[in-house]
Amino acid sequence: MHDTLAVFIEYGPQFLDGLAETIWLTLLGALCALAAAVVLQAAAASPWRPLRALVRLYTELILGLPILVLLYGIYFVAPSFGLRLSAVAAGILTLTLYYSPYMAEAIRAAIAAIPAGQVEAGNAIGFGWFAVARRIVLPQAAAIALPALVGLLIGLAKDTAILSIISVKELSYITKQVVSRTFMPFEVWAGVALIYWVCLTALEVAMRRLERHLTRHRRAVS
Amino acid sequence: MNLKSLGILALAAVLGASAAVPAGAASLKDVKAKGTLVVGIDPTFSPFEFTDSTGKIVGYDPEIIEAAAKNLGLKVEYKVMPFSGILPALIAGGFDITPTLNVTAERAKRIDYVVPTATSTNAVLAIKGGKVASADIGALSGLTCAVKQTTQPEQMMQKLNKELEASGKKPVELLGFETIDQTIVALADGRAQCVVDDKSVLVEAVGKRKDLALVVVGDIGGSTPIGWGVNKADADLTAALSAEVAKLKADGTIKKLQDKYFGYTMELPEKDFIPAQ
Repeated sequence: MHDTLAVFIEYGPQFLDGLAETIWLTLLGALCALAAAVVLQAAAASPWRPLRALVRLYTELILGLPILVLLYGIYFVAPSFGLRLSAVAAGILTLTLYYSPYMAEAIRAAIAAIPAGQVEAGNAIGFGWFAVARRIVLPQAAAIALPALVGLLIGLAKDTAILSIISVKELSYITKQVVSRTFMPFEVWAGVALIYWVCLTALEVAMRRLERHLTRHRRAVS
Repeated sequence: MNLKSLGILALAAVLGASAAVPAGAASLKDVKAKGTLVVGIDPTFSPFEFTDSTGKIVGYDPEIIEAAAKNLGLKVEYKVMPFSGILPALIAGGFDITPTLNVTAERAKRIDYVVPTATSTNAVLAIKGGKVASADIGALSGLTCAVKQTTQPEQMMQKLNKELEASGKKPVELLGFETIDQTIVALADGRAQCVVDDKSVLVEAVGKRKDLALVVVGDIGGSTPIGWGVNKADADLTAALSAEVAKLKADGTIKKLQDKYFGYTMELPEKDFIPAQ
């Protein structure tokens, strides 16, 4: 136990750098994936058929690929077609491409859960398309979509560890380095598992708070 | 179960795991009893260890291992994993031995080595006519170099980087990958200007990828012996394998295999091969 602590103190700055990289990748990856998901969902609801077909094709393609294959494709194969991204950019793009169809589906289901009558009622009292979206659909849909989106966010956070294989220097990459220096695989990986667990649990708790906040109207009436 | 008790349970599990003592691999007696020598290997390192077109694991070290195992009356079973997992698994007792391991003082504190079967000199691989014309560490300052994660060449470069920084020069940026072919793709794509690894492996890559105009620009760092790693708990297995390697050396088998796989022969140290630091 004492040795383990000594390793984490000696390599502390490196672990912190790795953790910062992991957190940053998670935040940026989640934001990009969410933005892409909104675009995908908007395109899927478009009246223009070829666009809808394109979204469906893209979704089917991504859902049929393991994230590892997607990552290798973007990092090692895409340069042959003129797209050379840094390891971090390739990692963010992979997380975005992989998670956006899932997030789009969560958004679609949440919007579909809003009764059509509410939209019609909104129109009847003179709300335009934007006002209906902002004042009626979005506040309710966000609360409905949140639990699914949080699950995906945590999945995305965990998948950042895969990026270590293309030399992204996040927490798992640093851990492999430290293990190769200290030869203490059990102690170091156990400690790092604890770090991941604490961070992901904190993220989940924070998101649950947000969910309670978004659903406060449901409690207010009871 | 609420979140707090779940947390305590997880904490207990993690601490329990960290306190657990590795079971240790089998001793020579145990290995003989099961009749199989289990070899942990990352067969992506031609000509030392690789897979042929049928998926069979072949190469310089596998051939010596199979000959040694045969003499000991053992069958060989391979467990394949990426190199970054090999040493942790060996220490955890996941298999009996692992071949093609640079002998370093740091590693020798945690694992034992069978007498070396090869010597390794690291070299710098680059694109012909590119930015790297010399294998001198000063000439690599500020450039990007691809290496295999957690390997001796990577650690050697990290050490050379400290020397560069101490003399006020920019370090070499290191990109760490899982396999040697990935490092070569990074070089070909222009993400790195050089690759540092064992010279015979790089020479083989130059021959295999003639389309890339690769060139070995020179040696870097000293040479180190390459041996098979064994769990420290298995001293008698290490001794038995060392004796077999010595026999295969005496009867000329090893020289013949060096000719077959490397195209040249190398002198092998028999004792005191663990470097001081």
